[in-house]
Amino acid sequence: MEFNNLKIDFTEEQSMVNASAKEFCADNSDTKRARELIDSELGFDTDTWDEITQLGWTGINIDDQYGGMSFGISAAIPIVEHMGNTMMSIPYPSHLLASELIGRLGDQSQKSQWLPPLCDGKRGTVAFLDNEDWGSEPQLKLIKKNDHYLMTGEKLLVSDALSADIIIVLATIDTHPVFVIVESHMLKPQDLHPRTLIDETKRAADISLQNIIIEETQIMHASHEIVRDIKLLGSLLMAAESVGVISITLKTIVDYLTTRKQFGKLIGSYQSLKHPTVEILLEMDSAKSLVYHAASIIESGTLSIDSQIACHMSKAKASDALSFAGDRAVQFHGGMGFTYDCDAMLFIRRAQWANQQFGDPQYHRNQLAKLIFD
Amino acid sequence: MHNNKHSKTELSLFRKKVSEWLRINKPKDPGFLLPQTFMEIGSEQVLNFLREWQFKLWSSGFLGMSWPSEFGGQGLPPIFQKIADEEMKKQKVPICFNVIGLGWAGPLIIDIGTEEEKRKYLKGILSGDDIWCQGFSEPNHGSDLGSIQTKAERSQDSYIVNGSKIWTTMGNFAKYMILLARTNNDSDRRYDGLSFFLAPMKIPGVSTSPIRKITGDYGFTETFFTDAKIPASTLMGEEGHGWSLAMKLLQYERGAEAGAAGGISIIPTTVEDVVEVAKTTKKDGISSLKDPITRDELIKLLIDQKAIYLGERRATFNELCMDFPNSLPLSSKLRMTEFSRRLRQYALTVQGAAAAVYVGDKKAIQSGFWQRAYLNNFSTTIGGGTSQIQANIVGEHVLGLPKD
Repeated sequence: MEFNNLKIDFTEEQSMVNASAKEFCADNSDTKRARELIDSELGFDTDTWDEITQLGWTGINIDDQYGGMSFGISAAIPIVEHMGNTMMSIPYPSHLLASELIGRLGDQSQKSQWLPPLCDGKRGTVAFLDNEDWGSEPQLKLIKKNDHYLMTGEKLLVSDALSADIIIVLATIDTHPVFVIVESHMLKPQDLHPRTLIDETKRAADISLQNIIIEETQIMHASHEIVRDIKLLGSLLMAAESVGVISITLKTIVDYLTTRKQFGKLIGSYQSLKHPTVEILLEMDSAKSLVYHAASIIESGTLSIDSQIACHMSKAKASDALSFAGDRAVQFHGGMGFTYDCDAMLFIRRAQWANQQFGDPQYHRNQLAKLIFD
Repeated sequence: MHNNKHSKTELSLFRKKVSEWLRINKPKDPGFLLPQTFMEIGSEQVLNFLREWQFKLWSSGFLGMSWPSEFGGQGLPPIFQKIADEEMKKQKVPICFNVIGLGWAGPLIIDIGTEEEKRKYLKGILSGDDIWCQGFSEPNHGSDLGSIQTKAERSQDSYIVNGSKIWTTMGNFAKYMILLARTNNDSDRRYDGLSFFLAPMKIPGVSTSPIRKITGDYGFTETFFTDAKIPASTLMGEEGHGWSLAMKLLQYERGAEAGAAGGISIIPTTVEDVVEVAKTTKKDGISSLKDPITRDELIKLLIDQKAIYLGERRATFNELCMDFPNSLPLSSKLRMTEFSRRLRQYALTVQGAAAAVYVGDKKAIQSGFWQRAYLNNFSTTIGGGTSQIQANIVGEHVLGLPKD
């Protein structure tokens, strides 16, 4: 057992990005704004997206030869954390993952074709699921027909599918995994079936694919490793966002505990509420340390064992911590906590959504056990 | 700045030398369970073994390396001792038992002591000839030092001490005590009337009574002072300044200020150690390490252990701690001691039926090390402010929650 990598770095790029992300997210989002956006179709504000594009964040991880900032995906970790911390509704993590995937796996012409528009504000997402099991092997098949392929089947719960310009679909050719770059105009509107989510600030849809013609140029031939890695990077982004959400959840709890009185005392003075609140802080601190460790070591090529361990640990810890925080946020607000008007509603629903995304904590611990014990 | 004089080559040569020396001189298994901390020394047999080991380390030049050379040290930059300590930890050698002297009294004497005090005390601390203990806590006051009742009344060139102290580690063996006593009852603030002494223990009027711990072992005493007459010269600093000196000691202890003589004072337990136990046991007919529930529990512990290590690193980046400043350092004790309690308990769970046996049973796994380690761990979740008090501190000082 050798997994003593304890590196944490905070680069100048991350530091710079961290400062502007903090300010930008605070200026553009809070729980009130998140509630307003619940009723919108796409679930986010396209003006905010345009500003993110202006800031260069849509291409922060992409090489400058394709119009990006060449900072690597690690530099996006503080951005995603601050988005969580302000409950910003935005399809940014989905987009990062899509562009990262093309950056890692695409050939020269695929990168030249799709990365510049993604940096310029076109939105991307990745369609992973064939069923409800995040751990299952890809099923969707591409069938060879003359000089092209036909893709027929279904992908489930594709994040931000409705607002994406480019959807990268995980599929197989003769059991070999491939990622297929599909532009949204290749799909008919009736092929997208929006799902009703427990987290109303998020958006996802099922996609029905009926004999979609796929050219060789749209196909990125993948390996087991790259499928694993891109899911792990998704887990890490999810963990970073969760750390931000735990932070705002904790602040909301503390606000209530320091203003609400019962039996003549501020309820925060009761240890039955104080101590679990401290527990939330400790768990958040653990998750944050793991996330920034992972961000410090993830490679631009195939992820090392250390990086895989760090991503799994980040997601396992952050999801458990957020579940606990959201749960206690509702309980500690008492009767108020049971109402739709209380922000604890947003947090507990986010927690349930985030928990399953890219695999729940038990799934990640099981992967860790395989990596470490077998 | 000191360190620049010593090249990397010199330091790595030194590391090699220590490592080699430890490999050859590391004591053989004595046939009884060695303590993990200095709070577990319950018999003369254990004491003598550790005393011999500390003497060997010091006389071979691997202890007190940064202390002044005229008083038993070598006057070297602290980096040398740090390297020696790292190697000791790596090779899991026994602890240096004279912890209060090496880590608390010694550094204070070097810092503010007179030449005479340095000559009198320092060498004996390093050699292990003079055992030191600490007299802060008192019965019924737990860790609230402001409530100290033990009195020291000035009488010509002496102080007359009356009162009692509790949780005195090695009180029955110690030659000296760092004693916090009340010299003035009239102070407005309760910390102001305290004074700090280097008190002799082997004098009339001082007696100790051993405390038997949950492990069944000894290691602590209650210490009674009945008109014990100690020389006025044993007062450190000025009368009434005891509190600030006690706080200074805590700085040495936490390593915030250099000065500790070195040597390892605690043998930590890690998840990796528990995994080794799990490799040798079975659950439901298969190796524990193949059992899904055991694996899940061990991985949870590994995640928390890694987060503890990483937290120390993250705390050095201000920008990564801006949401809740001071959260990491203030919660460190709570986090580590509670983690260790969980870990050590789980080391019993993985043993199956063998968890039921204790030190003294011939077939106990690792001679009952984990059973004893789990019970002893409560000294850390209770001593130095209980976990519940720690949680109050974090809640109030980091989160701004109201006091009870």
